[in-house]
Amino acid sequence: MRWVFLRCLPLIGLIWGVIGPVHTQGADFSSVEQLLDAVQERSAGISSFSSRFVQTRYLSIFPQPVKFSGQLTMARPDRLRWEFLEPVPSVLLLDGRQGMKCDGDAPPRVFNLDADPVMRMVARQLLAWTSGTYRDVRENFDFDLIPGPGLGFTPKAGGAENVISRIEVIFEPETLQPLSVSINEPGGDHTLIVFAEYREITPSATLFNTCSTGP
Amino acid sequence: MIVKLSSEQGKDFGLSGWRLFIILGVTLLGVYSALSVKLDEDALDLLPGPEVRRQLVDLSRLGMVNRIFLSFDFTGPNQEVTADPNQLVAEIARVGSILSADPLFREVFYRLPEGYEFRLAGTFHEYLPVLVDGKDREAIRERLAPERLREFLVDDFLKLNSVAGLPLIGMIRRDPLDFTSIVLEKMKGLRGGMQISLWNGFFLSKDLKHGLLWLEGLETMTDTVNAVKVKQSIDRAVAGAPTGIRIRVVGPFAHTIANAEAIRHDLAKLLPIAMGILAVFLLAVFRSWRALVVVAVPFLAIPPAIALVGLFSPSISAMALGFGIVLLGIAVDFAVHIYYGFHRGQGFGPSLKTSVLMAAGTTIGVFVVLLFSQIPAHRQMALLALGGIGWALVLSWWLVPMVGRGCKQSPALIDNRLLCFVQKTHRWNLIRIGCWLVLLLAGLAGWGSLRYSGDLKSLDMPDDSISQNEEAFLRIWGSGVDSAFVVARGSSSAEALNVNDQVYFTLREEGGEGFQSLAPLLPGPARQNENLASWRLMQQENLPQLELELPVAAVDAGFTADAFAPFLDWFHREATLMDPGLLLESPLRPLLMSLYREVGTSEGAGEDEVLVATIVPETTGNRLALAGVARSLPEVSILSGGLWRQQVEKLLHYDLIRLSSLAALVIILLCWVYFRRLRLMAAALAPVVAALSAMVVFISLTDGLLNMMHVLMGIMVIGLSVDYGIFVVQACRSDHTAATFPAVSVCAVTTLSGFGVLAFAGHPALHALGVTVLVGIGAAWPTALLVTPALLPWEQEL
Repeated sequence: MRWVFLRCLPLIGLIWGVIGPVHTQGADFSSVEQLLDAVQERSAGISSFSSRFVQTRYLSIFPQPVKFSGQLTMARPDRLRWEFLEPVPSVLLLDGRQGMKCDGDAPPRVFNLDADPVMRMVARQLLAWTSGTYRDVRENFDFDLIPGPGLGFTPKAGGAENVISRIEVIFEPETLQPLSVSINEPGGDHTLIVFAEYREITPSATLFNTCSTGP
Repeated sequence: MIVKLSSEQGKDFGLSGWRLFIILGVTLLGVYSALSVKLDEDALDLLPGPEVRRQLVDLSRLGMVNRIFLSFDFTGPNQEVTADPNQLVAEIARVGSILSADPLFREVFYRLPEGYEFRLAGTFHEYLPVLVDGKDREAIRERLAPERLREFLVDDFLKLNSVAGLPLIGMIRRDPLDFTSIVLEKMKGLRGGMQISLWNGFFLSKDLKHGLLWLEGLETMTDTVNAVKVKQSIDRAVAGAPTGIRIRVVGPFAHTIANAEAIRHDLAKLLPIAMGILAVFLLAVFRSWRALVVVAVPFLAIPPAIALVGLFSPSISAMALGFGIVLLGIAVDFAVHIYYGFHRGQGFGPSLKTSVLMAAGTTIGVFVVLLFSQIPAHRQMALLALGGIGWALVLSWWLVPMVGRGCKQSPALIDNRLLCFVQKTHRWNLIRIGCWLVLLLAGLAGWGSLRYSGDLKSLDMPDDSISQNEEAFLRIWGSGVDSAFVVARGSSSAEALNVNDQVYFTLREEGGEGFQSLAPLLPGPARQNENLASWRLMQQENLPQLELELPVAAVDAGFTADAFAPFLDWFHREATLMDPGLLLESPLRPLLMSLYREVGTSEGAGEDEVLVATIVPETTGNRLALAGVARSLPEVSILSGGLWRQQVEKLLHYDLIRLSSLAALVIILLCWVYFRRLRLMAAALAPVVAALSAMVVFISLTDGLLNMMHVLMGIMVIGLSVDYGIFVVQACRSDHTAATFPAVSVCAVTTLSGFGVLAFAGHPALHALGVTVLVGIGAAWPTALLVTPALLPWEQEL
């Protein structure tokens, strides 16, 4: 249902934001602000990239962790392709204000971010995350610095605290490239997404508005 | 030549101190009291019968009478065909936020609140057992079947692992088979025949080229001042719409303003002409400014007449006030006859006094009858006219002789010629009477073909933009047909909703389609109990197998065996009835409140009453279904445009026949009491009969539809025509024709010039008013002069 997706978008935004490419020399960060400045500065110079990812969900209703893997493609300022490849293919596309979701053989479901004030708010957050301007989501999350280096995000009261208890992002110490995102839920369930094979690319426009990329 | 009066006559006609005191006292008291009478422009005052008015009151209390729709139409910057819904919804939200803050409006709806799906899903899931009916339970049974159960669980597994799956966990554990969607599907019932789709909470057309906003005005919009305020507020809100978006506004206020402007335009064009003709004519005939004063004297009776109405009612209908004052014009004839007596040097003698009293008596008799009308505005109008004509008679009686005493006497050459013509051409009597009889027969023949039109739209004059907006609105949003409203009522929400359920099922059983009803989402306690009993049966039938099957299917789909324990707990649980208030305060409130209201009683007794409406498109099939509802549920009100018009027409027709017969009886009785001879009576009534016949012939030769204006002005024509006849008969009996014949002509010409020009008005109400007077007086005047004398017994003419 749409409301479910809507409520997920801030989370997705967080994920996109933290995997944004950040190339910098290895450094110690004494404060959140220092780390945020560094990430924002580096992300501004990258227009598009892709990365592989593995998502592992640790849910109490799954007898064992469930792994899904796929490919992420991002083109600044507002295009994204989040594609599961295994074990069950599915695609989520964002292209400016338009969006599309494709699950298996079901017809693609088109949606629009700008049509709804809630969605517009989410989209603003997304853009903030993807461009590395993390400070734009500070109205919804409290930030703290964690070893790694990394950032911790705790939802503020009245926000997404019913769905998320905490998000932790660990960066690669030398390049500040995100290595993993851990999303913790109030009931103890959590999800870990690990990124690899980051590379800058020049994606075609159809990648962000067509689910199928085959010939 | 100055009229010389004897000392006795002078004393008689002088304005003694006590008379002056009374006139001044009554006039000042009248002005003072009239100022405190509130003017009311309530359209309900024009409707006959308590039941018809109650139906409209119900609609008004449901907020449907003062409802305004704004349709946002995407045209594109260059009339492009590709719609951008984002532009539409942004504009809707902008305008909606402005109107929401405007104190003139309430219930401004343009989108469902944020997160409405989530909140609704929770509520519907909680109360699902009492909301699902037989068909829904079949769908639930089908999902509980082992194969479908497994399909759902596999789908749930994939959803949970998708990028959007994180917040789904709780919902999937509680409702893995998505029963909630079955109840959510019922929301379509709120849409009814309207072509609305929800687009991220906004109300858009299916092609996403149009958006809808609706609101309710707080004040009655048949009042021009309120209507203008509403228009100004809406104009301010829609100003600044971006290029490519056109906003059409549909609401009653637009009609009020258009009609007021059309009438103003007509009156601005025609009144100066009428007044000019009147003044020139009076000055030409009387050659004195005094004539203008005489004509004005009866209108001094207006303030006391309004004050008299104020004694019986705190407010006066604008319509009653307007037409009451017009009817006061009848009294002008009394003043003219008295003045003409002086003008011809005959003074205000006993014969003329008798004629004036008799004429006033018959006119007052007609208005006394009108007091028994079923239409409140007619009753007020009658009271106003009665008080006004009565006091105008006194004023004319006392003041006009004072004005006329010093007037110049004009030669009676023309009068004598006319008198001679009438008296010397007896051989033409039969021809004149024959023509009159032919007119009567034509009137009788035409009477059968007349139909009373209670449709107030026939007196409505919307401008082109209003018509275009309404047509476009119906094309975009509606089914293109009018709608009927079925209103269930009760002293509590439970009672009203139970009746509403009966309406819903009766409509369905009778084959009704596309109707908008609360019943699917908000059943009354009776049906909730029925649903609950059936749910319990289904629980007993399915629970044992589900408890065995679900854990196995869960494991097979990739879940733990107890993953769906919350669902089983819910299925086990004893359900409770849903309080209607819960849903009414839910995100669906905008849609529900269009059909549901808790209000005070129409009688203002202070007790609450709950009204629940069902909106039914008036298709052929639905008309039959509505007839079925009327048969099965006599306690509900059905307000269908067509049926309602028929009902109004029936009541008004009954009123017309009943009152006309009574008025005729009163006039005949008074004439009989006065004349005591059938032939004299026939002669006096000849102008009335001729006027009525001419009006019937004219209307039947045009569209055959009698409307309210015809009836109201018909009363005036009757009042004037009777007077013509009485004056002429009395004059012939007392040999005063030299003054009376031209006086009748002066009265007729002033009436024709004053009202007849309105026949050239563009507004249908004014046009009907003018035509009625033109045709009626146009027939009564020659009849009074030519036929009435001919009908008199031979010795009377001599």
